[in-house]
Amino acid sequence: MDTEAPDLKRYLEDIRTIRETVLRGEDRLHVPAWFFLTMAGLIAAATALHTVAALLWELPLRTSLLAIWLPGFILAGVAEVTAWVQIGREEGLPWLSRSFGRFIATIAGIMIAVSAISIAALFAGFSPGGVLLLLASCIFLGYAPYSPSISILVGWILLAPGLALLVASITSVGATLGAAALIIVGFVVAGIAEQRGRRDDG
Amino acid sequence: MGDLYTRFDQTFFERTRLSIVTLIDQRGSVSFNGLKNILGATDGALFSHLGKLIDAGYVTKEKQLTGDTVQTVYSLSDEGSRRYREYLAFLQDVLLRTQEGDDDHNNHDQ
Repeated sequence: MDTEAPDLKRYLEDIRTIRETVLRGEDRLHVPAWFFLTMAGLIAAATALHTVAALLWELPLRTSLLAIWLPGFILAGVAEVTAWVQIGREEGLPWLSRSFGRFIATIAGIMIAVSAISIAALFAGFSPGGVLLLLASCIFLGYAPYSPSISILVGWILLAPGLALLVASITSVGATLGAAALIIVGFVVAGIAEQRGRRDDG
Repeated sequence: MGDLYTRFDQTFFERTRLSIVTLIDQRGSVSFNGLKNILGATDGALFSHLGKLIDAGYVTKEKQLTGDTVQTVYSLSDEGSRRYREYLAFLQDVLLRTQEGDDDHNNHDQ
């Protein structure tokens, strides 16, 4: 029994090493702060353009969707791809690896599907504010494992008014502006939280 | 337990190498920079440990696209994966035996 004690100590140390390594490996994937702030900026710009176009030139919604929001979606997609390329490079994650590859394939598919549904809903005349809030909620909740914890709270906070606007079919410019403002605040808060989290980690 | 211990290749029984194997198993494959960022090891030490694992046939390497650059990426070979999982099962057995031993000891005291 005594000769087994040193071996037992070694086994327990190995268990501790494995546990610590797994925890360190899990905690590395974080969407960079600039992504959240870029999204806030894109939404602010698209909302401003949409509002100006609607109020000053009475631009039809369909035209606004094609000319303003669709490019916004595309730019957001570019920002997202850039963020994951950066993460892949910094963390040394191969695109073809089992974990990273499957994750990218999954998240890309979900984001494309959710974006397509949102665009279709906008063209179909659903509440723009409601659709935007639900889309943003999906982004926050979908990225929650790779974002600051507050992203989960933000996701749920955006979900409630989004559903309300959708059910009540509120399509006013004011409602869209209010929804955009909420989303922008959400992204800024998440970006600041991520920045602070990274600084604390050192 | 001593007999079981000697069953395993000494290659695993070093803290950094065990961490490397654990990380590769967790992620499927990891680049040199990825290992270095997470484990905080120096280039020389990491290269040395990886060399030992490759020589033992537990780890393989190849060039793959990571982010926007091509880096050397390390994966567990079939043998490496099998040995690692065998060791995990052994450690689980050790924990269970230790717990049973503690339970028997407590029951005896009562």
